[in-house]
Amino acid sequence: MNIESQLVEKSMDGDLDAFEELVLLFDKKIYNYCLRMTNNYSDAEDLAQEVFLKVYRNLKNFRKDSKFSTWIYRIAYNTCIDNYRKKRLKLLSLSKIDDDQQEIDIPSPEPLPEEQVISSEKYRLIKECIADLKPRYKSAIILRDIQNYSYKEIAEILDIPIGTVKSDINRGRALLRKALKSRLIEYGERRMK
Amino acid sequence: MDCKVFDEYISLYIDQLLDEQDKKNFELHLNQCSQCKEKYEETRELVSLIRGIDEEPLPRGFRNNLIKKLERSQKINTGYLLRWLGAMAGIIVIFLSVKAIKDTRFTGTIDKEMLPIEGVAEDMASTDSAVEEFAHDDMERGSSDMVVMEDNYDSGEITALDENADRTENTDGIDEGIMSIQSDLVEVYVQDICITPHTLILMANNHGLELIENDGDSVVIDIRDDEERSILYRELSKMGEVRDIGENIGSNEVKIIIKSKNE
Repeated sequence: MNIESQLVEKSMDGDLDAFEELVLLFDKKIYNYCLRMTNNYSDAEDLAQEVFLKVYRNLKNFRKDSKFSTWIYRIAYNTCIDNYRKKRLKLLSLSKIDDDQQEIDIPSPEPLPEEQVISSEKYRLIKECIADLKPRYKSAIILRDIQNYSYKEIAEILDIPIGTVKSDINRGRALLRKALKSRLIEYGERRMK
Repeated sequence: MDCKVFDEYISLYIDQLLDEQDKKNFELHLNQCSQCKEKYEETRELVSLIRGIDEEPLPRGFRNNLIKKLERSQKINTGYLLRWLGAMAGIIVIFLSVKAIKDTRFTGTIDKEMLPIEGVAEDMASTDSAVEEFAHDDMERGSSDMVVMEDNYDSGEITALDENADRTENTDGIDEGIMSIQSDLVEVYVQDICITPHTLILMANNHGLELIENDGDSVVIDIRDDEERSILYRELSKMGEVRDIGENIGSNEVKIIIKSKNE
């Protein structure tokens, strides 16, 4: 039995010290997941804490035949979705990327003004673009490209068929590619002025 | 391979999940179509950019705050257990008293002045809900020791909920003390045969909860936040014994099945 399973077992028996050790294994990952889902430090902190409290209160519902890491991410996803729904009106009005929106017509093939964009600015833009995606796409992208989960694990976490994971990741990346391109052009134009 | 299929395969190619044949066809198209090649290059760069996003450190005090909340949560639970035991002892005394009163009616041998709460005790003999009402009444009169008894949602066990404890121990808005539906599957064990899925639909309408599905035997309700989880718990627990048994915690879709207590 690996250390994670041992800690889960002890935590389920009411051992708070064991649960605290379990927290140490996952807190940074869950916090970063929430941070990329919201792109807001304060929200991410509150959400990550809420996730661990929910996990602690619901340990008795955890089935030992499933993976704890999958379970905790699913709770994190649901918690972030709850938060998203609370803020959805605001988000909808601000969102630049929306699946229902018509595809943005990019007036390229001019080369991207990448050389004008310093690296940190590029990261700031991509984080914004990720946060603006619909939850299902951004969750798939975060789990795959930032947290390095396999398609199969993502299917388990999000409780969706693997075919949906494949199409969500591809669609998410396509939306991000267009959104980033558009923002880089905007950014370049602002710098030219 | 045409451009449309190529489009669908870009991510699978980057993640090395295409089989040999599809991979060959993909590469063939890649070298023939400049537009698709550009799209592929941009996606590859995008993925490497995303993968380069650094993991951020935890905010200062994150772990300490969390551990404090967890300990408080555990303390409250332990507190409930102790209060529950106290309350159970109280109830046993009351039941014995009531029994004694009833016996007295037949035998007339017990001195009524010895009974602790004679007036209310008779009302309490029959049901749990009566116990709950009594506890509420007493609390309104200012008794700080009295606890409210509620059926726990997961296993039929009983948890004591001390409202005063909530006010003092739970100052930062954590909902340890507030009972709410947590998982995606709930069974409600009812004695009243008049309670049906239709009752659930009416309840959902009354509280502005969105109904997603109704298959005649069960309903699925859309739950948006913790407040709605609490409302749902409160309303279901009025109908019967609530068992929150789903595996998916915090799901927005909660399926509710009505079951007879005699099943």
